[in-house]
Formats: sequence, C-alpha cells, structure tokens
Amino acid sequence: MSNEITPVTSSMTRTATRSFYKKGGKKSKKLNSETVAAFVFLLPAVLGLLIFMIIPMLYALWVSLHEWNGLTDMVWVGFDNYLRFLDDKEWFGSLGRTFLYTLLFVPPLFFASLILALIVKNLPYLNGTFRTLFFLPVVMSSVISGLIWKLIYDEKFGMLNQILGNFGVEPISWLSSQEWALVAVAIVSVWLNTGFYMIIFLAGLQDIPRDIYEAATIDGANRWQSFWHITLPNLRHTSTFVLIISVIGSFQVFDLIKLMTNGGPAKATMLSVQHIYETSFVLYDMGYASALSLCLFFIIMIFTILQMKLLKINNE
Amino acid sequence: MSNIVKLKKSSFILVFVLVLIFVSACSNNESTSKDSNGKNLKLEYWTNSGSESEQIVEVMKDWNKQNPDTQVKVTMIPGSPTDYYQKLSTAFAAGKGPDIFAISPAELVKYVDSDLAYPVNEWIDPNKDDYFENTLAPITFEDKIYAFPSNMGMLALFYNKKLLEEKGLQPPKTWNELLEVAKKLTTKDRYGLLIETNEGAYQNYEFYPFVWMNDGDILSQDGKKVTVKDNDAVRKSLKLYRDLMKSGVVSKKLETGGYDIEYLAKGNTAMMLSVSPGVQTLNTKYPDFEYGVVPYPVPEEGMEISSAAGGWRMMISSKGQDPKRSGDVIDWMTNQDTEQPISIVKKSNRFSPRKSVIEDAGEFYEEYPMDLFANEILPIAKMEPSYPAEVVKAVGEAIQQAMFTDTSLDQIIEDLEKKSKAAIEKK
Repeated sequence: MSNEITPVTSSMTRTATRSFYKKGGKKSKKLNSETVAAFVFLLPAVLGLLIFMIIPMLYALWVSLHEWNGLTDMVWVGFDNYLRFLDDKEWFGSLGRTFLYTLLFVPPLFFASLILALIVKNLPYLNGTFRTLFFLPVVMSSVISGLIWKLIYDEKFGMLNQILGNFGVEPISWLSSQEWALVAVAIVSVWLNTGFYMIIFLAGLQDIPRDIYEAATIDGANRWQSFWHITLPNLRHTSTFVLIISVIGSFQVFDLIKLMTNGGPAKATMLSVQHIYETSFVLYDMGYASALSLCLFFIIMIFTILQMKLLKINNE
Repeated sequence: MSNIVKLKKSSFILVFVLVLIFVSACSNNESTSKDSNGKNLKLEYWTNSGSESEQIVEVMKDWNKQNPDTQVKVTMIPGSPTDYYQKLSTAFAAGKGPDIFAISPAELVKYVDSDLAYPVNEWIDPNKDDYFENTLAPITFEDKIYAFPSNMGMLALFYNKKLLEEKGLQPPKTWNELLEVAKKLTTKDRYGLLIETNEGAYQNYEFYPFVWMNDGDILSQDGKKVTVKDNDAVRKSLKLYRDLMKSGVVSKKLETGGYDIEYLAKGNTAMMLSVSPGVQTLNTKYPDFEYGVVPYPVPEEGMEISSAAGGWRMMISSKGQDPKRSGDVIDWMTNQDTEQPISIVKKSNRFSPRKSVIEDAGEFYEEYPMDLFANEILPIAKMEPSYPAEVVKAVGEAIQQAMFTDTSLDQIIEDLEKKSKAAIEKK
C-alpha cells in the first residue's frame, strides 16, 4: 500500500519544490496551493486509516485500561489487565500454538509459491492460464473455501478420506483430532494464499534483468547455478516481503479457524486471535481482550523488526 | 493561474463535502418517532432466526392490526446464537439496542448484571399458579423476574425406527445399552449416535440431564456454590462422553448444530439427542420417515429419567423507548389469553411454561411423540440453568477435554471446579 502512495507524494513535493524556486517572490502561496491539493488527494486514504485503524487502535488502548463487558460503564483499572495476562496459562498456550501454526504455514507457503512462480514463468505456453488457475483460490472468499474444505475433510463423508481410503489409509478425523486439526487448517491456509504470493514472486522474477542470465549462460552456468546465484539473491527483497507479510498473516489468522474448528477440538486450534475473540465475545471481558490484542500487536511488531534486521532490508 | 487555484479550492471543498456525505451516510440516522404518551410508537423486537421467530412474526401482525399506536417490528437476526448475541451486544454498546429481545439462559445473567433487563413483575405474578414452578426460578434474581418465561423445547433421544428394527434392537434405556446399541448401528458411513460435539451453550444443555440423573449439578440451586465435586455425577457423565467418543460410535465434527434433526432424517446417524421442535421438521419435511422418541437413557436400570427444558426468554430492555409498553406487547403475546401462545407452540412443537396453555392446546399434546414429551418428560424436566458466562465456558471446556483429549477426568473436574469458583467469586 505505502509503496503506491509514496511515489505520488514525492513527485508532488518535487513539482512543488521546483515551482518554489522558479517563481521567486510568490513562492509561498504557490507552494501552499499545491501542497493543499496533495493533501486533498491524500485525505480519503488518511481519513480511512484514521477512522478504521488509528482511532480504533487508540480506543482499544483506552479500553484495555478498564474493566468493561461492553454494556455497562467502563471501570478504570489502570494496568491490571496487563498484569493479568502474565500468569494466564491459556493465553500463553494460544501463543505457543500460534508459533506452531506459523511454522506449519510460512515455510510451505514460501516454497510452494516460489516453485509455482518459477513453473509459471518458465512455461513455454499457457502461462497466463495457469497463473489465473493458481490465483483462483485468492479470489475466493475464505468463508466459502473454509466451508468447502470442511466438507472435504469430513471424516465419514469427505472426499479426502475416500481418496486416501483407496490407498488403504484408515479414515483420519482431520478437524476433530488433537493431532491433525491445526495441520488441516494450515493446509487450507497455504492453499488459499499460495496464489497471491506466487504473483508477488512472479513480479520479483520478472524484475531480474535477462542479461544477467545471459551472461551466466555464456560463462557456462547451468540452470541450478543460475537459480542459486542469480535468482535467489535477486529475490531477496521479494522474499523479505513475503516472509514478513505471511508471518504477520499467520499471527492474525482467524476467519478460517472460526469457521472450520472454532478453536476446537478441546483448544487444539485455539490460536491467539481466536482466544482474544472468545475473551471478548464469549466472556465479554472487553478490557482484558483489548490488553491481549495490544500484546499481540507488540509481538507482531517485534517479529517484523527482527525479520527486517535479519534480512537487512533497511541497509538497502 | 488564479483560476487553477480557484479550481483547486473548489475541488478541495467538493472532496470535503463528499467525505462529509460519506461519513454521515454511514451513521444510521433512522428517526424513530419517540413519544412517551404512546402515540405512534415503533418498537424494535429482535429474535434469532430459526427458533419460534417465524411464528412470532405472524402473531405480531395481529398485534399491529389491533394497536395502530404501537407498531412492533420483528427483526430475525440470521446465523447462530453466537452471531445473534454479538450483534445484540454491539447494538446495545452503541446505544441502538432493541426494545424487546429474545435471550437464552446462558446469556441472560450478563444482561441482568448490566442493568439492561427491565423487571416484569408488574405483568407476571409469581404467586399465581399458572406457571410451572421451575420456569420462573432461572429468571428470578432477588425476587425480581427479569424476563418473560420461554416456550420450552425438551431434550430426548430420537431414533430411526427402521434401522433399529432391522437389527432387532430396542431403543436403549441405560447408558450401557446406549453404548451397545450405538456400536451395533455404526457403519462406515453412519454414526450410531449423534451428540453435539462443538463447544458451546447447546452442548452444555445437552449434557446437563446426564449429570442431573446422577443427582449432581454444576452449581447449587441458588447459584452461589460450586457443586461439581459434591458427588461423582459430573465425573460419571464426562466419562460417558469420553467412552462414547473413544468407542468411535458418535459424531465427531458437525457442520450444523447438534440439534439439527435432519442428520437423523437423512440417515447420517441412527440415533441422536435432540429437542421437541425437531418433531416439527420431521413431520413437515420428512412425512415418510419413521422415527421414535424415548427419554434420555439412565445410568442404571430403575433410575429416574431426566431432561432439560430450554428456550428463548423475552427480555424487555430497560433502555428502550418505552419499557412499559414493550412489556404490554409481550404480556399480550405470552401471558394473557391462551390463543397467541397456542399458535406459537403448536407451530414450533414447544411447551408453554403456562399450565393453562397446555390444557387448552389439549389434543395437540395427545399425538405421538408429543404425548411422550407431555406425559413423561415435561413433568420431570428441569429448566436450563442461567449460569455466568465463565461457568458456561468452563463446563464447555470440560466436555471438550473429556471427548477429545487424554487428560485425566480428575484433572478435568479439578479445572472445572477451579474456574467455576473463580467465576462465582468474581460476582
């Protein structure tokens, strides 16, 4: 998102600055009107951010300092809610499961989308068709795909167990066993998101200048070598982006879980956001739930900063 | 040049105006004509879709005809009860809650505690004999009645007659028989028995009768003491659920609510626990389907049966436009003549909490299986208790753990007691 906004503003400021120097005396007025125009164009985006992001976030901060069931008046409790979660085993349990989910989700997603991007790019023909096909799940609403996958996963009547049954595999209760539920949800999540990240990798791949490959071929590099020494290093920014966004996504996963397992069976898929949801909308503990969301916010922020540091995106 | 500046100024104003229009269009400014004198009152009445809401819509048409000064708009909120409550609490938090709303026992306490429930003592006299005695207890707090009692659905065991006959089986009467019969009826593509497996208030509701049959309970009658460990009733019932699950005869994952009688009618299961409104679906949608109904099996032969009666109570919002007039509406619908209640219970196969209504509905309760509900189950049914949300959740988690994990039952009971105690002390 921010990538799209920045060039517009910077070019506007540039024009503004240029005219500032040209016009000499009348400079300040001119600068004003163009800056105003810039702000006017930014206004809808800024307003949207304010109304739907910033203000609710500040409000959550305010709520987190209170005890509130959503119906009565708020009671100020200071930082009590923040002290409470320190010995909340269920919260840490849900965080642990969230990390596990990240491990189940991010690496397969990363490799699947990279491999698909490479395949699609190198297809001699029909690559547009395949690109569209692989992208299709992204267009689908996660609710609908969740419902479809629930049917596929059904222990007695589902397609997956029937297919596996042909190979002699005993029926697996995908969504209702402690061992499989989280894996099953992660599989759907990967399936849903691969297409999107494939497009990002494709864009990254197309940005790599062709002449580097040509030079490498002339130097006698084989395909594997050029992939390892040219493609991968040149995809570093794309990979960073994919990793950060998918890790954040894995921390925020909610709709699929709500729909497919609702945190069950017996909490096997009770990830952080689901836990926050239950705290607020089942137990009506809004203050505490807000404190938990802010905690999750900071965890995600720390992870993002760490990732950016590790992958040194800031130095470029 | 100045033209451009003007143009930009005007475009700025234009954008600003557009944004204002957008923002104001988002806020709901529907003007409800408020008039405390009762003139042209428009009351909002929310129910969860399903349940008896369609009948309520019908009955309210009569009210609206007879009372041009007080029009009632019934809104059926689609989705599960959870979705309904989410919408309800958000609406109240935003100061836009309905005047009248349906509420189930598991959620009732919250609204009472938040001072949103308008006491209905001026319409319902607890000393009058018409209401079954246990129907008022769960909605009475310190002598005040906080909702109109509900039409009750009652739990029982439904079974597929043909399948049992084919195997020469009798419907189970004891827990052991339940397990045995379920085992014999389980096939590769059919469950022997279907019980609710998703965590939530309905699963608890289905579970309570098992505890009650063993003379146990989660909380004491007044709701002030945790009785989970007073005897082994809860433990035994959790063990039954665990045994059923481990033996592979029960449903594990359900797409819809565990009360959905269509599972039985479509042959997905041979037996299931469900509620009396299921009779309505079976008789109208599946007239050729042969089914039977028996009370919940008991732990051992000779013990007393049990059932839970549940349903939606009607609450009057104390923050509504005119709580007194809203109360009059529900009073008319449920508490005055027997005509309106009868038309609702007949079409939803429920039981009115009023003896007079059941008497007047007469022959409706003489036909199988409603006679079984009326004669055997109604007299012993207990009302679904109104526990605080934390207790409801703790019970739900205990059932889930019993069914889906290997945690020892002692540990589960221990956790349940600890959580329930914490919840009660918090109050």
